[in-house]
Amino acid sequence: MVVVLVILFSFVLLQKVGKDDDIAVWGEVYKKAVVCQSVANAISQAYTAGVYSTVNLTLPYDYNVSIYSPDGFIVVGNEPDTVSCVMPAGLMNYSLNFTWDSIRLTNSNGLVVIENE
Amino acid sequence: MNKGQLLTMDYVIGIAIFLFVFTICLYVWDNALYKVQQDYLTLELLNTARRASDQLVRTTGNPSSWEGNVSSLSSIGLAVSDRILSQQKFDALAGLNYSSLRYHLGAGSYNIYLKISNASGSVFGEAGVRPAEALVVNIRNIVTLDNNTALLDVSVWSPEAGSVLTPTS
Repeated sequence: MVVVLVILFSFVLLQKVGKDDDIAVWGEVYKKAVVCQSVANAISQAYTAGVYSTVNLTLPYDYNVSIYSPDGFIVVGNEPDTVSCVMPAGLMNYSLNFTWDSIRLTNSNGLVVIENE
Repeated sequence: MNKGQLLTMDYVIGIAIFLFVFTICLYVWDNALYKVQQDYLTLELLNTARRASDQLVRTTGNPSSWEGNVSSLSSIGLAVSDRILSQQKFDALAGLNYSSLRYHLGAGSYNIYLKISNASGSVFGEAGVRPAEALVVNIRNIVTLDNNTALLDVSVWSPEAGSVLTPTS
């Protein structure tokens, strides 16, 4: 009986550790995806709003964010644990990195500029 | 009932309760994981559709007359002015190959389908790949096309819905 209980207990522990890991990994992926989508939405919003518009954005989680032009490719997090997303092509004219949790996007003469606030 | 029988009965009941609770725990864990995956997918599809839709109905594209020279296209847009669309631009968009269409609309690895029609269902144009059995997010905009009210549907969809997703990290 003791042997059976030990086996069952070990099985439960293995399952718990495995599931906890899966949920933690996906939770982290989800948080990075939220940041990625927030940045993409803000840049898209600044672009569609036109010249001299301003969009303020506060990022809900603190991750490194890199934006690559002209593809509109956004990468959140550090290698190798990154999450990426894309916005419509051609919205930005350069590549940049930032780690601030609060940024300001200014559309001036068709360019989207990201400033630290 | 002697002592041996009582012990066996306690043992069986104990194991049964344990298995019952453990099955519930497994269900809760799997459900939490599935929900996170579905939330992630919905977040991506919804935001992708919103961005593509906004850009199409609110911007002319760059250059503004890109429909005359598609090779010069930098960023795509269908508008002549806010929510007033050009049939020529839509026809030029429909002529793009599918990978180019996805690139310009920022669909990433997801599929995209566009349809412009009127309220009675007459279709003026379609582009992209029609959604198959999948998780589909559709954004509908009321626009003006050639002085008539029309509906622009932007659908972004993933065939992965319902299956176990692989993290992109």
